Amino acid sequence: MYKIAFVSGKGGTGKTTVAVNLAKFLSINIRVLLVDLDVEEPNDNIFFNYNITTDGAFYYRPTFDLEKCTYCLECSKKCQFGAIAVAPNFLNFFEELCHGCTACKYICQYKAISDGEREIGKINYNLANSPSLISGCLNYGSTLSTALIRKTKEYADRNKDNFDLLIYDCPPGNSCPAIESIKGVDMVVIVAEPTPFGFHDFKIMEKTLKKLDKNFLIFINKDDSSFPDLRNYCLFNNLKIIGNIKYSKNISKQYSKGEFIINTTEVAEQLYNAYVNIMNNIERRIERNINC
Amino acid sequence: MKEILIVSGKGGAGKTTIASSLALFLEENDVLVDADVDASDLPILLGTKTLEESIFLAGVIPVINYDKCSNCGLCESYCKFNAIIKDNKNNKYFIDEINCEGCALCSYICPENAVTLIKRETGKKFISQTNLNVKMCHGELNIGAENSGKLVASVKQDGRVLAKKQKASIIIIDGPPGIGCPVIAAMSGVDLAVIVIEPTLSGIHDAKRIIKLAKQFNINTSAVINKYGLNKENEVALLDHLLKEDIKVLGCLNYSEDIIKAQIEMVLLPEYNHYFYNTVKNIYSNMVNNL
Repeated sequence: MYKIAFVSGKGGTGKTTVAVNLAKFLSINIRVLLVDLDVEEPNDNIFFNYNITTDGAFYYRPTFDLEKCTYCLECSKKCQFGAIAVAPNFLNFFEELCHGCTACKYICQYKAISDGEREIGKINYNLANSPSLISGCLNYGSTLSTALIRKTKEYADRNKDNFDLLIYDCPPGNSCPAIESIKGVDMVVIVAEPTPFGFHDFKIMEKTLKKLDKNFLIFINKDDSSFPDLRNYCLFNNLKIIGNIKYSKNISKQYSKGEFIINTTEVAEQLYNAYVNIMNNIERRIERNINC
Repeated sequence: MKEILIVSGKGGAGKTTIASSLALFLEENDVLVDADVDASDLPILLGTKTLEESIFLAGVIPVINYDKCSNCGLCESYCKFNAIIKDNKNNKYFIDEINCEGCALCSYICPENAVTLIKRETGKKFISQTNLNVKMCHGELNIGAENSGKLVASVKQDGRVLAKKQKASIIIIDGPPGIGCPVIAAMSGVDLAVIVIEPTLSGIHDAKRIIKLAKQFNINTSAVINKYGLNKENEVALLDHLLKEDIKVLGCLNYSEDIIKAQIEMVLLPEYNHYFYNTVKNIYSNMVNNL
C-alpha cells in the first residue's frame, strides 16, 4: 500500500481534477481510497455524489472549574496563543485561538483545568464504493485546519489495509495545512499550471518540499505552449514531469458540471502514464534504500 | 477609510486577477494589501520596488540545553504536535521546527529546566511601490513556518497605518484561499468582502462556505462572477442563491482565454482590451457605491 499526495502552492491549478480522475480511473483495477484533505473547501464528493456517513471530529479544549480557580493569571500568562483572558473573578476562553496544546492544564496548580472536547469539523466517508472516499470538512469559524487534517489522515490510516493506494487531495498554499497533509506519504506530485502566478507558487512549493526532504514529481495542468518558463525551469533543474492535461475549454466545462474527464483517451493515457511513473519512482527509491 | 477584501474560498477563482484590475482605479494615496502570504502573487503583476522591509517575529520556538537535559523524555510524551523527536543515533532529543506550534509546554514541564524559548522568525513584511504609483503592503511566510494568520493580520495592520498616514479612502486587500485561519485574519474588521465566484460546482460550493463565514462575522458581502458563460445552468443557480442571500452582484467577467494571455504578457486586464476596461470600471464603481 502506497500513499501519494497532490499539492500545488497556488489554488485552482487542478489538484482536485487530477486526484479525482486518477482515483476514478485506477479504481477499475485496484482498490483506491481517495482522501480529501482540503478541509476548508472539500470538493471531491461533488464529482462522486456518494451517500456519505458523517462523524464529528473532536479536539481538546480546556474545561475550567471556576470553583477551584483562584484567578491567579498563570494560565493566561503562559498560553502562547492568547486564548485565555483572566481578571479578578473573571475568566474568558477564546476557543478559536486555542491550539489544544494542553499547557494550561499542566500549569494550573489548583487543578481547575481538565480535559474537554469540542467539535472542529466533520469526517465524511463512503468506504463501500469504489474508489472509496474520506473527506474532512472544517466547521465555520474554526481555525484548526491542521488538526482536522491530522484527524482525517488518522481515520484513513485505520482503514488503509483494505486498499492498494491512498490518494491525498491536499489544500493549497505552502504553510501548515499543506505541510501536515504530506507528512508520511511515499510520493508528492505538484500539479502546476504554466502561468506567471502558477510558476511563482510552484517554485515556493518546490523549495518547501526540498526543505522537507520530500521526493516529488510534476504534473502540468492547463498546459499550453504560450508560457514555456515552467517546463524550461523543470528541464534545467532536472525536475521530472510525469504527465500533462492540455488547456481546453471543454475540460473546464466538464469540471464545472462535476464530471469526470477520463472519457477522453488522451487524458486517460496521461493519467495512466503518470501513475506508472509515480509507482516506478517510489519502488526505485525503496530499492535504493534497501541496497544502501 | 474603507477596507475591501477580495476572497473566493476556492483557489484559482480569480482573486488576484480581480484585485490587480481594481487597483488600476485606485487613487495614488490609496493602499493595496496582499494578504496571501503563502503564495503572494499580486507583486508579480504590479511590479514592486521595496520601500521598507522588516522581519516578522511571531511566537516562540524551544531550544534544548543539552548540558542540563537528562534525556528523561517527558517533553516528548507531553508534546501534542510530535515536535520533539528522539535521535536514536546520538540518543538525544531535538525539536522538529516544522511540527512545533510554539505552545511552550515542553519548557513548562521540563524537570531540569533545560528548555528555553526564543522568538521565532516567521516571515518578512514589505511596503513597496507598485508601478501603478499605489503603495502595497505584502508579506512572505518563511518556508514551512507557522503563524500565517498572525502574519496576515500584521501585514493588514501595516496597510491600515499606511492608509491613515496617506489619508487614503480605500484599502484593497487580496485575500488567501480557504475559510481557515488566514482568511479569518484577513476578514476581521473589513467593510466589504467581495467574493469572486467561478460558475463551477466546486466554485459555487466554496463560495457558499465563505459567504456563511462572512455572515458569521457580520461582514457586508457582495459578489463578482468570474469565468461567466462557462456553465449557464450553474450561473442561474448561483444568481438565484445570491439573490436569496441578499448579496449584490457587482459585475461579471466573461470566460475568456484573454485573461490568461494578459497574465502571461504581464498586462493588467483593464489595459488588455476595452471590454475588460469597461467591465472592471463598472465593478469598481458598483463596489465603491456599495460601501
